[in-house]
Amino acid sequence: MVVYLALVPTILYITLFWVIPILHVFIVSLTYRDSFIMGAPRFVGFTNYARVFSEYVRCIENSIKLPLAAAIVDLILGYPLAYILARRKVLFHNVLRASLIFPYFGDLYVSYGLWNMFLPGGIFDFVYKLLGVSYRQVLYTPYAVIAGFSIFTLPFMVLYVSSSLQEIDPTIEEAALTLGATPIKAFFKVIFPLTLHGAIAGFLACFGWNLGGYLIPLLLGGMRAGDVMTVKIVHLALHVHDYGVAAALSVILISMTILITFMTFKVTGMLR
Amino acid sequence: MRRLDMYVVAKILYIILVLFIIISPFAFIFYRAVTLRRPTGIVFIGFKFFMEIPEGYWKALGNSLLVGLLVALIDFVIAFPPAYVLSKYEFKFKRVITALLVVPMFTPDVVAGVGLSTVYIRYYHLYGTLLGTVLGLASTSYPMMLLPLLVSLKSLDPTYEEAAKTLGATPLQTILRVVIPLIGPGIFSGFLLTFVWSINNYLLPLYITGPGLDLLAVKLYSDIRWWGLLGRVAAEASILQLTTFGVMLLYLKTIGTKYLTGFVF
Repeated sequence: MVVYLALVPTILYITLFWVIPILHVFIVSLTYRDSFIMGAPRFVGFTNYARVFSEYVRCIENSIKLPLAAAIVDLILGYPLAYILARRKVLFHNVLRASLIFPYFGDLYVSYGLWNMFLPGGIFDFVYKLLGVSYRQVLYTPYAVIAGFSIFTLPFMVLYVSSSLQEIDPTIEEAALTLGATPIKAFFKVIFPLTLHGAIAGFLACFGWNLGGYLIPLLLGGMRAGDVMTVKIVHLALHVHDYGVAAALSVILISMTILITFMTFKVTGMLR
Repeated sequence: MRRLDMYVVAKILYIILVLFIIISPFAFIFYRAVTLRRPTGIVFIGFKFFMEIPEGYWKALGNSLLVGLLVALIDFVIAFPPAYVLSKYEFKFKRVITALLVVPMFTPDVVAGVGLSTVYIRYYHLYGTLLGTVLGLASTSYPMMLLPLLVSLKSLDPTYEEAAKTLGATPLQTILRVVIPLIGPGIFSGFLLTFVWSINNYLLPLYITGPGLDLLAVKLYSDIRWWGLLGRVAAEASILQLTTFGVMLLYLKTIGTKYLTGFVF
């Protein structure tokens, strides 16, 4: 019984600093502009949601499309990497493993570094000259945002895929090879189906993390391509002081995130 | 044999490509901080930009380190009891409870910011204070402490605890004198992860810290937004980056990647 008593401070803390604030996002979304924090709250019903669905549909669309594209890129780029890392020791094995921790430091550097690289004077100057394009045809487009997103979340994909690869007995692959399958056939018929749940979990995790990315779309996407929900929420809440609409967008964002998180847990078997 | 060689070469090229993709944004900031672009070409100017960093920035570095340490401490206080209970006892819905405890890690900072800033201003009166900043940052980072603790507590041999109990130690003594020293590396991993995460977080402090307390990441964020092309800002970013690298390198050298299961490895 004493053991459960020890949990009380934790539960109290989580209730006060996570559950109540998140529930308050919903309450704030029903109030007019910043009336919730300045003076008496003025409840206006669901008009903020009506505004969201009439004015900010495009940024919700962008918020889904860009992370989805980034998750696909991650799957293509990260799956072979996880396979290489999980199977055998390779050149730079430890350097590679250690460098996977880089994006975990935050999107501050990924976005700032990539932004500097894409600008004139960066290392892509010769590519621009070679292809005869201006930097504006690369930098403030969805492709730049997708590049930033996919670099930021590559480690999550590698993590999920390699953990599901480690569960497989290596003899299964050897058996397939001895029984006459070509390496490519052995991979697609044996290894890939067995790691499918890891790949799906990684895909969902990448998507979920990128939903919350803020500086990457802001710096790399500019006003048009980087018009996603997080950027809109910060702009509305901190610059326009329209907390009502910002909270309405936040409710949509957090429900999407929680849904995806639980889907990830379901796929990885955390909820069984 | 020829085909095998091709395969090996392709693999090495692929690894180099991925390394380049991951490391180049970080390396390029250093490069920008120590070079100047002139019409005649790029010149190396050494650490001139680092000298131009205003004094307030160094003060903010101190604040950030303090906040990082406090957040890591609070995270440990919050995460240790559930980690201990979840690893030692069997009960219904154990996995669901673990999952629920991990969910806050996935909260987008913009949403947590809207929620925390409104309740801080209206009810808690913590807006703009050090305490409010620390407690707010801990709310989305404690799972990063919880997971390494779970890994290390699960791999702890229960006989040590039983021995301590047979020899007459109280449960509290057992935890303080036996369990915590034995899971030291796990605690250290969680400590460093939450520390690094919180000194690099700019979005949540932007909502809840206010102008009273300068934090390095927030200052850097606003400098990037307004003066992004200056070499000085690249130098500022390099300093935060170097601090982070130093901490992580120390970590990887001393402990390795064992307790990062469930995060990055």
